[in-house]
Amino acid sequence: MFIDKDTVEQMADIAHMHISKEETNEITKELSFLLECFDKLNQIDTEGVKATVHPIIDKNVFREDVVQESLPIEEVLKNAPDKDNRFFRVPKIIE
Amino acid sequence: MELHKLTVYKAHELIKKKEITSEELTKAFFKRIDNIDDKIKAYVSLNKEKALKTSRQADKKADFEEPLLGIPVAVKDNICTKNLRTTCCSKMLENFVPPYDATVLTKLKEKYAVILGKTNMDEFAMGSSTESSCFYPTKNPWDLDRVSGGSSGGSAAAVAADECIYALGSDTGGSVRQPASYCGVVGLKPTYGRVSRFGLAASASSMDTIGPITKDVTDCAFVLNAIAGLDSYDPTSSDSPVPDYLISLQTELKSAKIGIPKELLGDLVDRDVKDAVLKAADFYETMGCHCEEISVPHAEYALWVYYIIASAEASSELGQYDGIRYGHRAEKYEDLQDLYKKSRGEGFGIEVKRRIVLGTYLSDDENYDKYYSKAQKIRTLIKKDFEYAFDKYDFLITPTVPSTAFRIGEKIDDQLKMYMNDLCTTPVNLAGLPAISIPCGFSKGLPIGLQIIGKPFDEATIIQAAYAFEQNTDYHKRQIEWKEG
Repeated sequence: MFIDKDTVEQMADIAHMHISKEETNEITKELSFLLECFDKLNQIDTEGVKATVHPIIDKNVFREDVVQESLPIEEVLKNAPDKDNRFFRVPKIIE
Repeated sequence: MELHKLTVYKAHELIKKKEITSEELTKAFFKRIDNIDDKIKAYVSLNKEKALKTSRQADKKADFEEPLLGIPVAVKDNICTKNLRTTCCSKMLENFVPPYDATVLTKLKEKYAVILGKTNMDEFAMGSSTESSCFYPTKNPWDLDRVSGGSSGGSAAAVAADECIYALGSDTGGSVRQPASYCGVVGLKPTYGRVSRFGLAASASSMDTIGPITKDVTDCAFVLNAIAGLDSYDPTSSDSPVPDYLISLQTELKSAKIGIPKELLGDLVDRDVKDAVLKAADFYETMGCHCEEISVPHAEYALWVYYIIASAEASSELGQYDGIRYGHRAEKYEDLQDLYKKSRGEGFGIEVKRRIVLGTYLSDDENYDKYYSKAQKIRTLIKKDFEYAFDKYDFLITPTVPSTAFRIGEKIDDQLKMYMNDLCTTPVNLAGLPAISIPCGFSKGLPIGLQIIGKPFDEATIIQAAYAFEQNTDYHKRQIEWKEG
């Protein structure tokens, strides 16, 4: 057993994403297959090997904190599914 | 003269000599799109009015030396185009109109490039066939029953079917090279950091790159010249100097040392594909190069390492689509949590959901060390394998894809076969290397691609190797035989 339906549902829940029963079945089947494939990686000895995060350069990029012009509010809000004047509208989150 | 058949180079020459105008050229392409895109389905949005306006502006410009001036281009739909819908071919972004341009677009617009429209792709660049697009699959111009490849399938098909002169795609695990291979055109994945990713909707940000898809290697050099370089908006872009890639366009290629990784030419590779790659090796030998079989021992694990890292990164990147600031929001919901869940549940397709669930699972506390951390360590070993190979060899050659284009619907139900598609391309993304796919043969009328892999920031060498091969072979000249009706 590599992954079961409950775990798939739990992961979708953590990812804040609804999945249908049909999708749960399909994803469970697919992920079981993939996790079995991933198990092959355990054959490889990685003792003492450093993890790669950036494929080429491993350095932080800093810059001066300079004030620059940003997008106008109306441009930023243009794609908002719901807005009110200068704000994004969201459901009530405080009781 | 059939204007839609022109390359960047030829169209530029004609514009420069004032034998054609950009407006004529642009109109010819919209006519071509009108005539043929019903069959191919390469585009998801067109930009006709603005494109014609830009073409007229280009015609008035004095600087006719600029090679991309007035040349029509198609752009993959995950690259932000200001005031032009950018959907990532997902219901999630179906109505998203970016308020800014990606850096590559800014660079092209400065040169008065003519943006024809946005091309189809797998949803959020997840897939190898454009079948996961929320719109429709793009068909392969060589055989309309087959896929164009993916995820940049619309871009590759548009170039192959003469629906644009060149196109931009993005490549995270092979998404420029694989469709270029399937459609018989040239596709380049630059070194990670060579081209700015600013304005590219992230799929897996430690591997995402933007690259050109063109009709030949000369055009590839022109386009890379235009888009490469450091960008302050992308902290992962590199300050490594950008050479003039046109200098690489030489047919002589003396005494190069070429490695052929045996792990990427094994039993999973179709006979015809293998033969075409070995024939390409013979060609390089006759040019005075030295080819040798080599081992990149961890390459065979790259596919699974890639899927672990790509899924974990994707699950994190795609967290931004929450139905609040932009993107799809469900109509009915009870509270904030319900809004998130329904909006994401309705907005994402099955392939994206699969990767988000997988990525969430792999980066979960319990699994982090076993899968994610392990994969990142093997990624280091893969990188070292390549570094070791490049101590001795100037470039490596492999198939781009183990087989030719598959039938629409054929692999969507057989995921292992689908994953194996990425066998030869994913190791390159993990190591951040540059690679180009060029046509190197045909199997039953379908194009085969040769992948040439180079050292970091050494696009010049692979372009030169590709150019030498192209100029001495005819594969890129073969024309598609269009069936009537």
